[in-house]
Amino acid sequence: MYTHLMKMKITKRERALVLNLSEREMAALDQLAQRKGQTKSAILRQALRLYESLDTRVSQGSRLVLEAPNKKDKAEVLLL
Amino acid sequence: MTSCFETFTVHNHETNEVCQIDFVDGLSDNHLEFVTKEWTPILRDRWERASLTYHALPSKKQSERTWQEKQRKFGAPDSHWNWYEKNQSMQGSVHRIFALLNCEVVEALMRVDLSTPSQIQHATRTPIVYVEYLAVAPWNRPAIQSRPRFKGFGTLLLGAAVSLSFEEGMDGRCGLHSLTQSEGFYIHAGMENLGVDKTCGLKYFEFSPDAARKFLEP
Repeated sequence: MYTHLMKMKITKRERALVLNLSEREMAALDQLAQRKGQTKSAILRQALRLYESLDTRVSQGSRLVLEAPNKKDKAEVLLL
Repeated sequence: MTSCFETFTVHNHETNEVCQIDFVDGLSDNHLEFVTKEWTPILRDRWERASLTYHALPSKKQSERTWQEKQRKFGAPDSHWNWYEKNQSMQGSVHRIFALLNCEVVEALMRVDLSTPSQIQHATRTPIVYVEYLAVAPWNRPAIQSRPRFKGFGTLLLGAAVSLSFEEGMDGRCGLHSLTQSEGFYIHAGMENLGVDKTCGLKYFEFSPDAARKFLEP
């Protein structure tokens, strides 16, 4: 049932953006894409979602804290 | 803001007529009000009936398992879900809500999270589309209405989640925690059962890229 609809296009209004990156930034993006098995576009979209989500939480008064594997060392991350 | 990305026709089993259904991204206040006024009283009533029959059981037979069975029988395991809150708590582009609308009648709803890591590819923290909540209207549930108005809308919403995963470059990876009564459906759909998640007591299921492709094949 509805098999003809299963492969639907969800995001219709995509807009293109030209982004200039330095060699170092492009290398970082390449590495991340390879490590995660994703396209560079997918990595940048994910990064935007993460930044947006964290920025919203921090602007509402939450703190972003990174905990070391030993669970003793904690450091607050300051979002720019 | 609501935007329609697909319109299709489907058979209404109540009226024996063909209806036009809109597949939309986002919910308006009218849709949320509709769910509160039309879904919630039915689901609460079914939950109360489930609760009454459960508490009528001898105490020896009362357990989490029998409670789940009663909820399944009465078709309202999600009676406590508040879609107003779920819509309010959406965080920017991290969450999205999809709905199937029959004019202004809300027939099915789904909220997804795009910031959750895969449990199959746990080491690389590969992101997936995580289906947080998926529900069809009470009149589309065989446990509530013997002849549901529409059939297959849950499958259609799951297909949308998988399609979204492909579009977002996540290779079809899509996961969810299943209510007990739906586990068979997700296994049949080809999702991998990764066992009970101790944090919530529900089984976690995930589509691998291959399984996701197969699921979308006609």
